Amino acid sequence: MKTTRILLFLAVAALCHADTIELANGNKVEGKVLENNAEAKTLTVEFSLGGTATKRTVPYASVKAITVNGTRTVLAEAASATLTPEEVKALIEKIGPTEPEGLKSIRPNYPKTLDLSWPEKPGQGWNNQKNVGQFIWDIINPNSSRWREGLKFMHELLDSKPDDSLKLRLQKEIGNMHFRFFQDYARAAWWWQQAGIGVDDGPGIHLAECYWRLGSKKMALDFIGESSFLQLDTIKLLGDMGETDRAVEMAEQFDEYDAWLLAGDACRLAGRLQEAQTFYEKVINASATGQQAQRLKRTQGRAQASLDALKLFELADVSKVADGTYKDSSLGYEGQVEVSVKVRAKKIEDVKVTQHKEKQYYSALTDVPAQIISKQGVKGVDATSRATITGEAIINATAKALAQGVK
Amino acid sequence: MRLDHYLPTLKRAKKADRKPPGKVRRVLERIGPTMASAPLRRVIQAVCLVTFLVSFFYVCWPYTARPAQAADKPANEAQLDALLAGEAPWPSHYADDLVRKEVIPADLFLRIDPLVSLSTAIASRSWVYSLVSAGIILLACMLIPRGFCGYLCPLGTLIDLFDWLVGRRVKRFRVKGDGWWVHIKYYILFGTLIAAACGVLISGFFSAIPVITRGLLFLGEPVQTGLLRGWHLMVPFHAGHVISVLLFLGVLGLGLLRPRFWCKYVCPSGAVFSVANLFRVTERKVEDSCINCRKCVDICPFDAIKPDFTTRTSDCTLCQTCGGVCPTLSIKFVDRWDVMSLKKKNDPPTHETPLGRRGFVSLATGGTLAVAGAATAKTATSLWGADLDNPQAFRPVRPPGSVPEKEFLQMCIRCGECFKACPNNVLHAEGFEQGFEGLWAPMVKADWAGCESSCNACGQVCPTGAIQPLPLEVKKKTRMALAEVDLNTCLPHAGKEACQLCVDDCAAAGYHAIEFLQVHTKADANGNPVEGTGFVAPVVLADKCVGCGLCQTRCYGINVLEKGLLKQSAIVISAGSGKEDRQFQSTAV
Repeated sequence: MKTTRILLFLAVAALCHADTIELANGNKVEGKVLENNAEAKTLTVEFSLGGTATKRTVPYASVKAITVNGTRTVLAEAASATLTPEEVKALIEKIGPTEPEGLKSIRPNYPKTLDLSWPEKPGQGWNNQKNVGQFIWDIINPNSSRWREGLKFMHELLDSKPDDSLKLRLQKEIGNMHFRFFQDYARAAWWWQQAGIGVDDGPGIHLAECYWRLGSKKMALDFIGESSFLQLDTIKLLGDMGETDRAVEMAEQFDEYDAWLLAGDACRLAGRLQEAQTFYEKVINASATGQQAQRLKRTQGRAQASLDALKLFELADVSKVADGTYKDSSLGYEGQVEVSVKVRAKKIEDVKVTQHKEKQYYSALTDVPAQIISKQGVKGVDATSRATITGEAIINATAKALAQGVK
Repeated sequence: MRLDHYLPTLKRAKKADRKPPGKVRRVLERIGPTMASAPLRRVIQAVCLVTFLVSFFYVCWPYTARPAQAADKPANEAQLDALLAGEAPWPSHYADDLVRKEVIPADLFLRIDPLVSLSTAIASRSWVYSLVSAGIILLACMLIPRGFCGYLCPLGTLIDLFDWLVGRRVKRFRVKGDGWWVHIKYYILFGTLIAAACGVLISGFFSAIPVITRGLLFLGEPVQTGLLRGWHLMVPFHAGHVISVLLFLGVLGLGLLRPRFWCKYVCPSGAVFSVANLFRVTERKVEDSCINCRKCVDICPFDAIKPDFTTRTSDCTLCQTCGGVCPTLSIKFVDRWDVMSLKKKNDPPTHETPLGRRGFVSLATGGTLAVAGAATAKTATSLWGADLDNPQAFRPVRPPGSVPEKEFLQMCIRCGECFKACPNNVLHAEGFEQGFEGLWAPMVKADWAGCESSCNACGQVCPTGAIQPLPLEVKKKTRMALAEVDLNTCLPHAGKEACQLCVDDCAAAGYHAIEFLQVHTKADANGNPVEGTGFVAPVVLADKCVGCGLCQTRCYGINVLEKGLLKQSAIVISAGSGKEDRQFQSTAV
């Protein structure tokens, strides 16, 4: 049904005037959708080039969203149409074994000192120049620019005829990388299947997520159903899939702060904001001792951040704010940016930056407040590009100021 | 050939016939006698001063730039391909803004100050492109001898304004007659050129346009920044600033001794024109109808009229004010070889000899002083200078595209134009960090601000080529320094807390020159990492870092100033061999 709606939307879009095309790579281009080929999964777009127009055909996969007449539609949803479990299996078999585009040209890049036999137990001491796992953890994982190098490295090890135990670990890690780095669900699923991952193994719930992302919620739910014990990741996946009730139910069975945090996230995603707030507060009020204390502290940090964001962006609705002038500040480029917001009769009358130390602020100091006033809130305000840090500080400070006045 | 443009006095035979002057003339007379006699000259002066001020305060004010929105249309197919391929569009709003506003070169007046290009060319033994503009203006001044001083020079016009506002009301400092000072300008010119020949550039101290540019920079720019952007963004003053401001106020203050005292007697740029006057093709001449009324002598702002009412040709700027006050219309501005009905010379007697004993003594003394001054400057820079051979000596980070340090010090005229055009005042005036040699040269102060990736203004406005005018595509790859992380203080490296300010800023600027390294990870018994332990810490990729300093600005601003976690930035840019791309592209002679 979703597909039909999007196809209809695209048909309408074709008739309308130029709008914004958000590419999957993060760039935005202006153009006009001329044709939508559902079979080939391509869009033909007439891009505006200064005064002239250029026609290009781009695959769905490289377009994230299009905005027509102010209405934004995420195209990724069009690609993830509902499929039967058989279709998903066929998709995994078809795409999974293929090499991702451009991987051939990547040169492996890793220190020569690495022990390529990658022993399962590297032993005492942390050395990211010797232990493969520690190298991946320290250097590959944190840098998106190195992810393809990392994948290439794993493939190279796999090609060097490893023993069976290492082979399984390599296949699992390749699956991990496809999932974690590239959200390439078909290949992740295929590699995990090669490694014989079951639902109770490490990435098992992520394998279920792949099935759902590829189009079959049923397949994912069936796979989770085989699980013999409760897993935290399951709560998250159920929440993401929109099975909020089941997620909450499971979290209550789990009865532990990490589960509550995930249940809070699930509720927030489903728009059940009051319930989300309750869960987050439950986490924040929890207590633990010993080894658990450190872990709880981290979870509480996350819960607090989520609660703050929730209060700021979803509860700070100007229609609930009492008349008055509110001041608050947030960290900008060089220091605190203080904003004063004037609300009268459920309307944001004025937003002013009252104190700042910013140097690189360009237009952000005037543009962002103007946008907040015209949009009557902080949602959808675009932090002036190239001045994002200042712009976001103004948005956050405004949201915090508004939150002070929520009745 | 007649070049007259003055407004002649109304001649009427009988008093009864005299009609009241017309409206235009009445307005001009109300403004003042110089306006009434040579209005065209005053108008040109005003236009030049306004042009100079607009160039300085508007064209070189980068904050009118607006960053392009991500959704802006690409301009060509290559840009579209880049967008589709996922390359982030490189911002260019600062560079574009300067191009948009720069209808005439922002550094026009610096380019046509002949001493600027002449001395830098001599000091660096190279071809300086602004020699062309200087040559053109010198050629033009063959037609209007010293016309630069009378018509174009914004410092001269400012001095005129100072005289009109202050000088004419304060009489007590006025000096009479011609003293020892009358030829100072030649000795200063001589001295700066000798110093330049020794490879030391000191003309920036005295040259007209650098003096006014720096004066406005240190007095006007802080006020502009304070009023328009906030007083907290004003660059703090140091001794170097104070010296420059005193020098500028001194130049204006000389106007208390006599109107245009600076221009007539001290300014070495003016001296270049006085010397070039030897090749003049036009001059002021007086016909025999002169009645010796002295009106012209009284009004001449340059003391260019001798007691016999003929012209001191090396001083006359052809401003033609005298022509407008002459009751008998005896003054004409004609070609040098015009001899039609000229007035007799030395009547009344001038008591001037071509080169008397006193003249010879003062020439000898002045010449000696000039050589001594140049030698002092040379000695000062070698004893208390940049000390380039010493690797331990202070090496400032120079603007992107700067020529190598030795040539840089010889080519940078210290006008300060680059500071003015630099967004967020990344460039600060050097003090005495390199002794006397680096005074007022631009250096990057990354604690204050980092170099904007979309800007190439400093090279575009540099009049001497000390900073090469790089296109943005080249500038974005030109290394000015290298950032280095202090592993002992950097918060995640030291294991204190998570921080990724520098990495985020580097990525936002488009360089992606700082990557992450996971540090302080705790391992379990099997040597597998414990989820959630340790920090990601910054690592600079030396092959991608251009040393813009944005990382340092952020670390200093937040971790030092705002949060007080550090004493100094944990990531610091520094210059030195192997860390910067500095080429001397000028054709060396």
